[in-house]
Amino acid sequence: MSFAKISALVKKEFVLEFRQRASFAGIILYLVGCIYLSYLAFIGSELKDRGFWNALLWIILLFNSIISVSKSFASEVKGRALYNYTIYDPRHLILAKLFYNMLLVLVVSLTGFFFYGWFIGNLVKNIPLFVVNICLASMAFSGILTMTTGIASKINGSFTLISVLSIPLLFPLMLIAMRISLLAALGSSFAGCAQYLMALGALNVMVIVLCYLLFPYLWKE
Amino acid sequence: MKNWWKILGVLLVLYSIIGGFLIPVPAVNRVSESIRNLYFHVPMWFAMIVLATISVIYSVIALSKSSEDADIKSSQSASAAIPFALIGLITGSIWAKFTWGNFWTNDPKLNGVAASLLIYLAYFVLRSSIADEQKKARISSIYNIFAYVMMIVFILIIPRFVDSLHPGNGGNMAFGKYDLDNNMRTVFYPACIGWILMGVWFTEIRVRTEKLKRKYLYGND
Amino acid sequence: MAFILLIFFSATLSAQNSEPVEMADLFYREGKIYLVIAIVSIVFGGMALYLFLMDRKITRIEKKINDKYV
Repeated sequence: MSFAKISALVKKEFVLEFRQRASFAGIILYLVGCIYLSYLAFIGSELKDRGFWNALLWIILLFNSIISVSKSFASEVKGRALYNYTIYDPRHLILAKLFYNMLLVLVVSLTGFFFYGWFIGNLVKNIPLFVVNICLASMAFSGILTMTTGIASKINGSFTLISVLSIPLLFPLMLIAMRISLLAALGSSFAGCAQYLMALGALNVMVIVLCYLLFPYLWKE
Repeated sequence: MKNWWKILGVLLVLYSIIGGFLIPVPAVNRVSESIRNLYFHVPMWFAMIVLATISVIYSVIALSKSSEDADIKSSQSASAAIPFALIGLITGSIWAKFTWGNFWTNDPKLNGVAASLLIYLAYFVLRSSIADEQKKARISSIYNIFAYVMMIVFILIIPRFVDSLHPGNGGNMAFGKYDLDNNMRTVFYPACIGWILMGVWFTEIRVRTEKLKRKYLYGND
Repeated sequence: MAFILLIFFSATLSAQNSEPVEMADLFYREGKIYLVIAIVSIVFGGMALYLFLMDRKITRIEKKINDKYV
């Protein structure tokens, strides 16, 4: 478990990202586009119902997370696979990718919440709880999405395949996250959601462990 | 003879049919005689979970030993679990219409099973999109493990947290405590075992058919 | 099966436990239950028989292929 190697790989991800800033800009553009579209859809009738507000936010976050992570494995070109395999341990690779994707989805989700609150209005009463929830949920999203994007990249998968594979896996996660989210919007305290938050945390740990254990099998070509 | 367990399965289910109607049941409010549905609806779930567990165990074996045989068993037992899930959902819906008033309610177990069904259908989509048998075995085994973990989380863990119409969760009396008296147990347990054995028989037939198909397509190997 | 049973009782049940729950006792006393058991057993028995015949067919094909390829 070499932190030096992992951080080197993470650095590589960041460097690649900044070289093509267009892709990150594209993700943010998609996000703002979705949110603004939702705002336009609600012109005329005020969105006062917390349930709807919550549901719409999470659907936007879900699809934007999928888009953000879908470009993750694009740089692992087919021809270089054998070279890569001899250079670094797939476990280091998956940890690096997980870390990078979690950061990415976290940033995208928080930005999304910010813009959503700006355009459509903020109906949340307990904001710290809400933000913690978004953080935990984003981490779990990116964990599962990283794995499914990895699977799809191995079979020349299109975006459709990534969606088909990942959306059913994300259902339990979405359920818990939306439940906490609604409670936070209604003003519940941290203590009130304690068991849900623990469940979310446990889900995160489980996803990371599974990814770590299973990724080497995926990567040996 | 080596097929004794198949005959045992048929006999146990036949016993559960005859005993299920003849053996007196406790009189419970709202459910009345339809409590006998317990002998037919609930074993579907037990069979589904057992088959899914068999599937994931063979997935792990397929990954660790790169065994195509284990992969066949894993995928066919997942295939056999699907009709049990569907029949469980349909029978549950009809029962729900009579006792709870609606065909579908916002109950976590129903949501859990529906989502799990989608997850496993995504598993089959994944399998069908890969041509090479060995790659198919490896990649779909990885997805199978994720699918199983998510299914367990969704079906068994979340209903503990959330209010539910099902007996035994969220404040309702458990079937186990009051109503499943000793009379019912004498029919219920054999019914479960019988249907599990039937499920394993379905799987075995599917496995043999698949092996024959591969032998026919790819010759002797 | 529950559907058929439920047709034969039509009381609306209230939430109190003091009222006796109406069960299909008349149905049972008239012995109609044996008809239900017979029908369901035949349905299931027929399916089990079909399964058994398919099983035997596959066994024969397996023997034939093994002889051919072995």
